[in-house]
Amino acid sequence: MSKDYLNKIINGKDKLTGELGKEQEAYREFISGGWKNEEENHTGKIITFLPENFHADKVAESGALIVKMAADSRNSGKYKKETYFYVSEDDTFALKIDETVTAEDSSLTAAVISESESDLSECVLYCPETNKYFLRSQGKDIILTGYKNFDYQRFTFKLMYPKAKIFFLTPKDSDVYTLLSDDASFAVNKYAIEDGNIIAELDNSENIKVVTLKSETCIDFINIQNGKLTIPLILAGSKFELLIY
Amino acid sequence: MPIDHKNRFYVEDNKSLNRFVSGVIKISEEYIRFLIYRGRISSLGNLSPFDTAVDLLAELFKVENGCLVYFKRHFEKLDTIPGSEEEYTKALKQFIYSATLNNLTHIYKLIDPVANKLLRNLKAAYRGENYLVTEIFLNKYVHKKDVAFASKECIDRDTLLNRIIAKNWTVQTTAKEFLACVFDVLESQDQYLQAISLNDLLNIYKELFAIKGKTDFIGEKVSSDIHHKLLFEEIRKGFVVKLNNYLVKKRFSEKERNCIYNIIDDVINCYLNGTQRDSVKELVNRYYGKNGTDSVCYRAEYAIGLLNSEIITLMQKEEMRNVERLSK
Repeated sequence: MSKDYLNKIINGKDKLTGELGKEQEAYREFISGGWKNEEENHTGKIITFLPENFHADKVAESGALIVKMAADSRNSGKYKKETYFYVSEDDTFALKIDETVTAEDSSLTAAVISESESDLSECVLYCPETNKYFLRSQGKDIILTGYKNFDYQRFTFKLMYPKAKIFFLTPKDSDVYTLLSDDASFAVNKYAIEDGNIIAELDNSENIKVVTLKSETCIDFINIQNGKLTIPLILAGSKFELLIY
Repeated sequence: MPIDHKNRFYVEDNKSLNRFVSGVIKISEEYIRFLIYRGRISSLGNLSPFDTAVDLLAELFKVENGCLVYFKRHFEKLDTIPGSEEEYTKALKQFIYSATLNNLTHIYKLIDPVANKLLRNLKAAYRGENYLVTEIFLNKYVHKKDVAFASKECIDRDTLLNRIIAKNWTVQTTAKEFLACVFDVLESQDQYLQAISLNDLLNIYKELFAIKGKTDFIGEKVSSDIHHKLLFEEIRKGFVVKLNNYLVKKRFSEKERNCIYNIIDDVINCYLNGTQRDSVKELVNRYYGKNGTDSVCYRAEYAIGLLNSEIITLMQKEEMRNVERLSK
């Protein structure tokens, strides 16, 4: 950037002319802040999903009604597929769970549906009844495991946005990570490399439910104990981020 | 001890480094938001302005001999050492805007691969021809010789586009020839500055590529026309879905959304019929009303840019399919 031109724009008080005048106008608009609009902030947001007929179902428990929640079912001798819907309290998100049962096995796949096109790539799904967290796979689906013997249709699920991100960056020609946290209250105090792991110590680990690592090649859960994160070097690479929930 | 020019950007501990890096990223993030607002870059995909700033500036935070070496070098080279805190902050911001603008093209690979390829060709062309490049605040400008940026304004994008089209633009097959054509137009007048912003250069080049697809399309005329029509219908349908995602995500008002949809429809019809589209300002006046603000124009320009990328991508895919068919 030409120092003279930008200096004139930033430090000069006179109104400039020509293309430089247009650049000065842009700069003045920039610092005025008038162009900013409120963007939706999802940091730390938690969306609770309840079974679609949750309230009716509660009545059913008392014996008044029987509600069939299956939205779609196809039966054949070997293969059965059922779909269950859960909706968020404000009705803006839905969770769709497909249950596929074959003679040998059964599997559950969940997908979050949102009209607002929110970016959900960094969210984890949590099931309070089983205290389990799930990551989205490469596509949009979430594979739910360990539900074979449960009446999961009555469970609730929570979609959690990260409340903080910690970036680990290695500048070119350097083998030392530069750390950056978007929330100062979750900064890494120090880190060391031990036995093929990065051991990172957090300033504050209160209220942290779960931590995931996201890099260009993978996304996975990270072990946290007493404020210490154990990050396998093999997952880390030269640049990655930790998402704190 | 804070990290600044007074202590030659010495890093005492991780905490102070984290604080400094966060501050720098915040400055860059705000600047990137403004560039997005002005339609200079897209906010496609899942890359937030914060993530973009981290990606663009990661290289700056190299620590050597205990110091942030790039910051130290930059401040050592300054003619005037900042005396006050305010002067230091301004000098720091200047350095960060510059670094962000310089590295901006790195993210095209992720957000707009078509623009990335075209930009690569344009850069090779203007570097090969020894054109000059000047960065100011919002833009980088390409020019053949020294120009006085305070003397005149640059020609607006749509006027230049129309003049290039009027100059038998179909012969422009390489980036080098395109550049020569642009500067022929610029040098043949004296109302405007003989310089062009890199952003306008890229967008005009992209639009010409999108239009060029119609005339250079493979096959004999009649079947080509039908084929072309079908292809554009496919683009119209597919693009509206993508556009809708963008408009919803960015929380455009219904009036803005309708205006953008109508503009895109209008532009596609012009491309299909081989007629010249109206300028963005005229289109916004027609579909939004006379009170259309600059921000609506930026958004419309941006949406047309997206459409052009989509057309080029589909044309290239189609050409590949044709080549495969012919080689069987």
